Amino acid sequence: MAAKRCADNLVSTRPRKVMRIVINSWSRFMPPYIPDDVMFNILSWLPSKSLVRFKSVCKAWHAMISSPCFIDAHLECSKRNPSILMVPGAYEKQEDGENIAFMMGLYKYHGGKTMELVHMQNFSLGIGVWTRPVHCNGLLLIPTMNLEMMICNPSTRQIVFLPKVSGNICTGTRAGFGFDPHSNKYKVARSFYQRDSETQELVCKFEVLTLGTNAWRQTEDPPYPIDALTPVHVKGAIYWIVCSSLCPDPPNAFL
Amino acid sequence: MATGSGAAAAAADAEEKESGSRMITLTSNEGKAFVVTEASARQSATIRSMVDDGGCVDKGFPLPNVDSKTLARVIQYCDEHGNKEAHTVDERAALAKFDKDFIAELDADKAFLYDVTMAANYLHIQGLFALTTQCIADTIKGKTPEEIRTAFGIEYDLTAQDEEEIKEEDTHA
Repeated sequence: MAAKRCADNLVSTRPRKVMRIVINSWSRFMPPYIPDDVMFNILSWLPSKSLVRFKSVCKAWHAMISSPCFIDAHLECSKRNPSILMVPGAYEKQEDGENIAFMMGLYKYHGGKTMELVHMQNFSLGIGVWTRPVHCNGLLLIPTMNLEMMICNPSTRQIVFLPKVSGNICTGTRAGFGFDPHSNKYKVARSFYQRDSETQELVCKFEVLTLGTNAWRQTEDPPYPIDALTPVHVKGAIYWIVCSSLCPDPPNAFL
Repeated sequence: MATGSGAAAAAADAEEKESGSRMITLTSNEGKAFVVTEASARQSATIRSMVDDGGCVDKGFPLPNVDSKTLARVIQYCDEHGNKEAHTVDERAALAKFDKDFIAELDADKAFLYDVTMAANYLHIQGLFALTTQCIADTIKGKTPEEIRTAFGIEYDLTAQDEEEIKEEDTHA
């Protein structure tokens, strides 16, 4: 009798047993309650790719992941495990009938000579020639062929277009992109040349866009003509190189 | 004057030495007492502030939220990080290896990993908390939203419209 029951069990419970193990391992994994602050810390370790997906877990997670406070914490965590993203200063043009696609490859650098293509981004508006993408905190600023610029977040693949810039003659325009820790905002600064209406001379102008606002704000004219070289952003300040051919005694750089 | 400040410095030094070798008793919610060095206990910001406020060092600290099994494991971490130096490259490498083995063991038992995480949070042991939360994050990294809801017992409260808006956000924004 006992043996028979045993055999019965073996046959009948096998699939159920598997089920039970699955449920058990999940329920063991599932703690009774994870406080929000603990969950906040767990999520801040996740790669952006997972976070984008987890926005649709529930309302609370969506709100947490989208909050500026979480984004800051996530950036801090990411800085502890940095990865190098390589963006070649060139793009591929793919013509397909009438459509022209501008492809920019984003590569993750693994050290040595190895790298991996993580994403091929198509920028339909085209990418400006002679300009280099500039980056700040993992965001890329890419000038387009016309008077627009866009900011791309390579990890979420989001692209934001910036408002059109003021008219200017196209040569020698360069943009810098940085994070201002005082106002906690990202800013795009750009130098360009304009022909003075009276003297017809080229004047170097400067304008700044604070992300989140919708307009470029012209600042004071720079004290020296700026060279057509991509500026560098270090610790909240953007450094530009002064055009030495137009200025006899230039300082090395200025903010 | 010189002798005075010298004596004061010596006194402070002696006090520091004494406090470094002081023993502190932590009591689990089952009433089991664990005696640890002060350096080890100071890994916990919660206990550190109580000790610095001149709290009940002699009476020990009851921890009503932590059971014996969890506390023993937490103390294992604190002993390693509190009592060992981390100045040279080798010392730091040894600690990193300890962390790696420590978390690998915990990872095998998710319920326990959760208990240790909660204890690290309650006791404010920053290094341990970072270690365990990162481990949980690695576990859930590749999961789908459905799997996450099952794992954490989260109720699905998004409407079809919400889903649509979230998708919209991701493609444009």
